[in-house]
Amino acid sequence: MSMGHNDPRSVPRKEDARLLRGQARFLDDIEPPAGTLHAIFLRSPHAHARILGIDASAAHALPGVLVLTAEDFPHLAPLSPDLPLAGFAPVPRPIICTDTVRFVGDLVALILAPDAYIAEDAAELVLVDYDPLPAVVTLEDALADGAAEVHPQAPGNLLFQNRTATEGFDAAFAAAAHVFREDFSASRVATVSLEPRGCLARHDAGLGETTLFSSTQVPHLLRNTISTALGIPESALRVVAPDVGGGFGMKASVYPEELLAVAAARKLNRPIKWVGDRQDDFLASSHARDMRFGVEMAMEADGTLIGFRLDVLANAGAYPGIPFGSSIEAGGGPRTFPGPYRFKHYAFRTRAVATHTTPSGPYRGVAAPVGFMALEGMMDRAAAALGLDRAEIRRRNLLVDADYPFINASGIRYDNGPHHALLARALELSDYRGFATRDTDPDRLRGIGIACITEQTGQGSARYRARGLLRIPGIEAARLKVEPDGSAVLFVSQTTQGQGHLTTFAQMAAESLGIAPEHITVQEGDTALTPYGSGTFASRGVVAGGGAVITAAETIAAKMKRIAGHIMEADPADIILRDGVAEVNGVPGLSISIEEIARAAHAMRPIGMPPGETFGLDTTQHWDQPVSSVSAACHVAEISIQRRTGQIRVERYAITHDCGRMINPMIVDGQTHGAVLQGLGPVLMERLLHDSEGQLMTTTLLDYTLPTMLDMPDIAMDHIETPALDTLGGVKGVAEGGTIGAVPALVNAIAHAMRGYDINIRAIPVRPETLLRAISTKDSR
Amino acid sequence: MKPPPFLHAAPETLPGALELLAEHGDAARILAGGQSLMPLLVMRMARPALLLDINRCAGLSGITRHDGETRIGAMTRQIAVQRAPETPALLARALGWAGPRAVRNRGTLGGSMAHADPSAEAPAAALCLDAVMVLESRRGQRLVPAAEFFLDALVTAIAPDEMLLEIRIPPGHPRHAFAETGVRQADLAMAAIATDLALDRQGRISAIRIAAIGAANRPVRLPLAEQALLGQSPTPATLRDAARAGLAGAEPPSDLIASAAHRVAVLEGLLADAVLEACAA
Ligand SMILES: Cc1cc2nc3c(=O)[nH]c(=O)nc-3n(C[C@H](O)[C@H](O)[C@H](O)COP(=O)(O)OP(=O)(O)OC[C@H]3O[C@@H](n4cnc5c(N)ncnc54)[C@H](O)[C@@H]3O)c2cc1C
Repeated sequence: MSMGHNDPRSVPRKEDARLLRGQARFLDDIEPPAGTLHAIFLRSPHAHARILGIDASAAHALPGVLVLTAEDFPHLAPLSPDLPLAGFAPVPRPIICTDTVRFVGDLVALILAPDAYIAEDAAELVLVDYDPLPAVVTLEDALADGAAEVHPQAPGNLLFQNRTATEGFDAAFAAAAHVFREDFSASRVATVSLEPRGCLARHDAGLGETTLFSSTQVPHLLRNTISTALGIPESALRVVAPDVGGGFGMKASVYPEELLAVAAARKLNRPIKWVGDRQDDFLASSHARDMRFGVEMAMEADGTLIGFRLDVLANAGAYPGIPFGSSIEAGGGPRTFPGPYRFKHYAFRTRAVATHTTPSGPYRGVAAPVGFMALEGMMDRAAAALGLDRAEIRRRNLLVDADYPFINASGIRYDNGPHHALLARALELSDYRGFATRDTDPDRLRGIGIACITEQTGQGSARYRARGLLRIPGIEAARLKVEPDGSAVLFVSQTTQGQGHLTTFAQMAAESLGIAPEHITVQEGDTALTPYGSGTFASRGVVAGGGAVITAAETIAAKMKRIAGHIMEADPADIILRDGVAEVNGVPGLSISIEEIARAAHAMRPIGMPPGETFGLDTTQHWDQPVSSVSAACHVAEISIQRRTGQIRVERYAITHDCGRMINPMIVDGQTHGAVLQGLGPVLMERLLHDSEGQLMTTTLLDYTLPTMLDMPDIAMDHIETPALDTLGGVKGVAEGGTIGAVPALVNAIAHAMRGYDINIRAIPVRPETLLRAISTKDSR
Repeated sequence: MKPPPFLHAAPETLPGALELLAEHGDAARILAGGQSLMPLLVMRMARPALLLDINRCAGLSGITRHDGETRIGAMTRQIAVQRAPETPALLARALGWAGPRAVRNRGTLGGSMAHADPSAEAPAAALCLDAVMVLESRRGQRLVPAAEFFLDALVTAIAPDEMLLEIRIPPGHPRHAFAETGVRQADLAMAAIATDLALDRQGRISAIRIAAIGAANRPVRLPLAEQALLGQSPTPATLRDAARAGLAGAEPPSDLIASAAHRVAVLEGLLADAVLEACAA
């Protein structure tokens, strides 16, 4: 239903033909070199235990098997992510456990064998003597008096804490006509990319160089972290991300497996290949969003917002993740909370809590889907209490054009944002007014929910410094090279996992170069080819990476114009590059092809370069986005609940969306659709469950129920393109908003459907069981 | 997720397969479509010394009719069963819920029965239709009614040296329905009801069979509900009372997907829906 496909900017994705034909090369498609050892990681079966001894003799007896433990890597220093800022506990993460394991899945030994089958046989034969210790699993466990401590460096299990209040906060709250309170919570979820993690490390002893292929979102970060931990020059390590089957933030962290693969490849001088399976993925890839939001909202009598007080908790798991650290969710929660609303008073306390569970990390939207569930849940509660329509209470508080530029209560700058138009159009698209005429099936309870959201995108170096994350540069870079035949290669510091970079960046470069996108090849994901940068996460692609691409393209375009001017004896300012030629403005018929310019630039034409000009069309440009860019959306979800089973079905779904100027609307739509499904899952069915000892009970896709295409609603979608003022090219980032909006819109729709029943919807997932209990309690009365 | 070492045998005749079964007994495991067995192998939850692959055995698949009785070879793929005109409509409908198409292309009807997953659709349909399982071994053949075949979760009456050869289904009643709910669309059943029935001229139920998924750790018939409905017109009140009676003593599993109480509540609703739908059909 979306219009994206009909837009001329929606050129087909360059990546699709090879993906659809099975020509892509994912990690496991890389042929292992002769002599490769296949790795299996032996993981702790206990949430918390001391390792008393490891007996690998039976495993060593299998042909070609090697078992490596912490003793074999005496020089591997633990990793520490966070700057020693106030509020952070300085907790390191061991790369391989020495004497203590801290979650089910913590890494105890590396088992190497001629093939993965023998490696698994060997893993069964390694006997580890554990002395189990008391474990803390939930937030409540970890914060209880006398709770077992996960790390001595983090008293009270607090890995990170922060509190702040704006000036005059208490007085403003005390004077408020209304203060509404609620506690919201989300169950822990897994990312579940189609392709689990994996890596292949290859060492060339003669050159002293190691190549690591890894299914990662952050090749440069990975190289930097591994070289520091192993004490090898960064120049002696090359990291390559092949085709990557999804990451969604989970692959933006550096994991011990990658470090150990490189360490073992160098130690043994043998290639090491590890392909994680689904169980590895559930146990040892980052978890997310095990969070609580305690919210107090102060309002004037007419529903005008005064401010919020938050108490945020995030279960960070056993260790701070690398490189995003322990504050990823606890810090991000209050930072992204204020959304599209105007309010001045803001106070929060936030804590990241250590538990004996898998470390948490970034996952599409990070804390924002839960934060907006809380924020938009409060708006609905206030509307009910004040007798206002749910759209009306939002209208009274959404930012208006006169507010811009606006700095919100958490310090984020908004250059613009068409929030009222987004809401109005979403109400039309969803036929919000006509809801009652559709609410007629006696067998189903029907509800409609609104969510107005913002998405912070494209953070630059200043933001990562402020968060104490030194390992994340925050900058991106692009090298653009026009070849003698007039085709171009663009090397970008990011890497793609399905976002369509190869198409979008080519389109962005084409705009100023006048070279067709199909003649611009985009290369990413190889530290040996691409300039240094941060990687692909936090919707930074078009803003941060795109900023570098635009700068590089404009630099080369300017040089091509100078060369063209020289050849045609025209002022470079009069040269227009388009459709593969350089034309002189106002002189019809006078033009030369870009190929001719490129040949001249490579000394392949009789005519020389303009005086003072160097040969070549080759530049590397860096981009540091000065202020984050804020995208916005309004989601309206309509659901129904089967009265006899409590089963929820999504009936209608509408989105209006602003991510600034769009490069390829079809890709924007695709990103948004996928993101909606990743918001629907955690609301309707996804949850990771531990038992009280910390055993993860959901380690297969039978137990961890992911939505499928059959659960995906048709989405009506419209864009209100509002070019950003604070970025190059007017773009704003995209890809997380779908998730951020789907969670609150669906939760609010469910709560609306349950109006009239005695139930308070404030935790996800919302289980049919809970709904049915409320329905039958009332209906049987 | 790699299996431990095993031997693989792929006999081309039934006697060859039975010979190997007799010899290896418990240590052998039959491989049919592999849709359930392969996951068990790679998770090392099944560790057979011998994988007895019967995919090349002649004569184990096909659907025929004998005096109104339908006979389905154990190796017949679920998709073929679903599509064959001879297949009883209730079984075909139940299979429509049995996992994704790709899985049904490969999975066999016999495999689904022999695997006896408590959430599987085909066993519940078989139980509802009073199917008979034909078990074959070197010792000979025996016929086991579905009611005596499904013993527990993943446990059947098949002896270690036996193979399920055929599923026989006697003629059924003219009306049927299958109602299911799961966490997702087209997911494993959390609860389901299969029913086939007949109505008399006055629209009263003159014969009825009801089987449930999710009421126990195996598919079960609900005889008390059947009795309560016999001779009745399907009104909301009779349906509700029958459903309550049928599920009164049920001991459904409680697991990550749903609690026992929720399963009972859902089954009551599904039972009413299914019977109403069958009567209206
Ligand atoms: C993604 C997915 C979704 C699924 N969803 C559903 C669903 O919704 N509903 C459902 O019912 N099932 C579902 N299944 C299971 C599937 O239908 C299996 O096909 C079926 O359970 C087993 O049939 P098979 O031929 O594949 O048997 P196999 O996997 O080969 O064997 C299963 C077991 O039966 C034994 N066996 C097989 N044939 C015989 C025989 N002739 N005699 C004696 N023993 C035998 C085997 O030794 C093994 O123990 C799903 C499977 C997958 C992978």
